[in-house]
Amino acid sequence: MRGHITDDQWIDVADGVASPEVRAHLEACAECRATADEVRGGWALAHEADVPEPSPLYWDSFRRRVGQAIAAESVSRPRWRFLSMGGALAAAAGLVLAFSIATRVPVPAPISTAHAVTLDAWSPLPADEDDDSLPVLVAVSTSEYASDVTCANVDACVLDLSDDEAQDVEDALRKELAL
Amino acid sequence: MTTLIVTPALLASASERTRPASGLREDDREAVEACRNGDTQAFDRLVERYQRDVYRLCYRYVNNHFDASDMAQEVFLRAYRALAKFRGDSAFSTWLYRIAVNTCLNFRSSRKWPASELSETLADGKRGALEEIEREEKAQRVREAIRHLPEKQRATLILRMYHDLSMDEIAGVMGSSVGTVKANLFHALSKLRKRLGGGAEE
Repeated sequence: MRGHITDDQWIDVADGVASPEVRAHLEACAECRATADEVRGGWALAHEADVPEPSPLYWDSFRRRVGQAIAAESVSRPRWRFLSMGGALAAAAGLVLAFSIATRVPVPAPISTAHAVTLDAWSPLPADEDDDSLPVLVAVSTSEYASDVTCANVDACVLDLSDDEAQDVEDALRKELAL
Repeated sequence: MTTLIVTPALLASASERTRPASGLREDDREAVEACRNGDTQAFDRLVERYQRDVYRLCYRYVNNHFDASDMAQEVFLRAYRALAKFRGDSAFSTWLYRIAVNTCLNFRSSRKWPASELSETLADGKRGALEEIEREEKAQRVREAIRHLPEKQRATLILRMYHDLSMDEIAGVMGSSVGTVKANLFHALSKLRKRLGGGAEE
């Protein structure tokens, strides 16, 4: 063995599991024997360092504090869980949206506006004489409900109808227009 | 007069008699599984099982009850947070010690302590015998000397001397090689001896 016993070999010496080569060196080297005594002395000293035992009541209190800290953490954690689930929620929402688009009821073809009267949103309602819908209402006014029509224009009449009346008007219109 | 010196080899052989070969105790494994399934009482059982070991490790590190108590609580809180990552490759206690050592290494006390703190036991006045006081004073001097060791040497000494971990286990806890662990332990013991002189009794 060349040189003295190295730092990582001293614990094997103290444990009594050093290699024969190290043991032979130890017998021959006074300096290393002194170090070995120092290490063993260190162990003996360390063995005297008892830890004072806390009161028996301390452990119950300790466990309770740990439990409370964990409970407090568990209360605040769902928010983080919710935030951490944001990606999954977004994916799920996207999936639902895609499904609803793929399976929705077919939309009727757009109505041609070539011959429609174009009205701006703020335009006043047309006068009765210009109301293309009025002749239709007049046509159905021969019905039993005609005497009840007291409103100023078609829109006002339609808005005043009850559900049953609206259904009757619709049926009459369909019949008149042969739909 | 002959003094019986308890060496690491003796400690290791004693601990091997009580430690299962598989490493992870069956009751620990069951408790960890129960925790993962939301059983908070199961974690309470783990705390009850290891609270003394963790507290003692922390106490030897800081040499006062109040910091040790705070640190031990922090260790269990960190363990609870990290429980999902525990794979059972090592004993639960080894895994817990790793967390405890990291907590100790990162701990900076905000308290100002006198050089010596009377233990609660003595403060209670229940053990007033002179012999007991002298024994406690010696222990206090050694603990104080340990507290002044460099951090990694201190942690290595504590794990080996007071918690019976093998060199391999300490290397795992400290994230270093067995050779480094042995060297750290050697330096810790040498410094302890030099700081306290021939013995704690002087």
